[in-house]
Amino acid sequence: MHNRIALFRAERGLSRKALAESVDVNPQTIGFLERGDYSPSVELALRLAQVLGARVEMLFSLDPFPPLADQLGASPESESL
Amino acid sequence: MLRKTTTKTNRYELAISPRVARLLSVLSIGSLWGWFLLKFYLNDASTGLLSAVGSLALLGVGGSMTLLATQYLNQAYGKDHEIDERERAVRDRAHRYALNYVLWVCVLTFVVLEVASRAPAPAATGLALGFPAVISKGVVENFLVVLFFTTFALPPAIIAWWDRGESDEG
Repeated sequence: MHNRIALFRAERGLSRKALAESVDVNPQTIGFLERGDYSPSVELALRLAQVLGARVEMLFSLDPFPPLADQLGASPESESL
Repeated sequence: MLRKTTTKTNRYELAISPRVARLLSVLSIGSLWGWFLLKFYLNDASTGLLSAVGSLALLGVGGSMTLLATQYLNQAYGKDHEIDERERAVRDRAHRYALNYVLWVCVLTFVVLEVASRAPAPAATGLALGFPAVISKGVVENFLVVLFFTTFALPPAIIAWWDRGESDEG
């Protein structure tokens, strides 16, 4: 399973420890999640989405996420520039 | 160094690096089995040598106890509400390995006893590494001591071997 936890966490300015405390897990677990070494339960995925202010499908995907640069390049804002 | 554990509980435990924990696990489990085997075969040896062998037991038990005083104790024996879901999965996997260890030790002991019971007695063969026809109560007790301490220390030792030692920050 692929995820964008690190991206959203950095955007929100949260440390692993702060995020871990928000979702009530060990900070090491956040590292395991970010590296894709551990797939969370539905409950933890929902809690992460809630804390990071994103939908679950924005955070997790069965397929690899497209590179951010490609997505930015394809967005309407970039076309208007 | 005592520090607050990084799991969900607020326990204070001896914080050691994964590398030290790995070294401690090999030292304690190896010393305990070394003590058992040497004591078994050096039963008639001099008192000085037996004392030296006895120190291996102390090293093994002390090492196991130290390992159980570290942060790995809570990760290996923490209750469900004390650790998070990933730690629960790791704990359960470590205990499955420990169960396999006990089962294999039992099977191996059974095989050794079966083979030994069919082999000629040491006196007849003159082999130094013989096997007595009757196992004494003391040998069985020593075996149980080793099995108890090694099995108890194994889950935290396994978790220490899996630990990447990454920081909480990031």
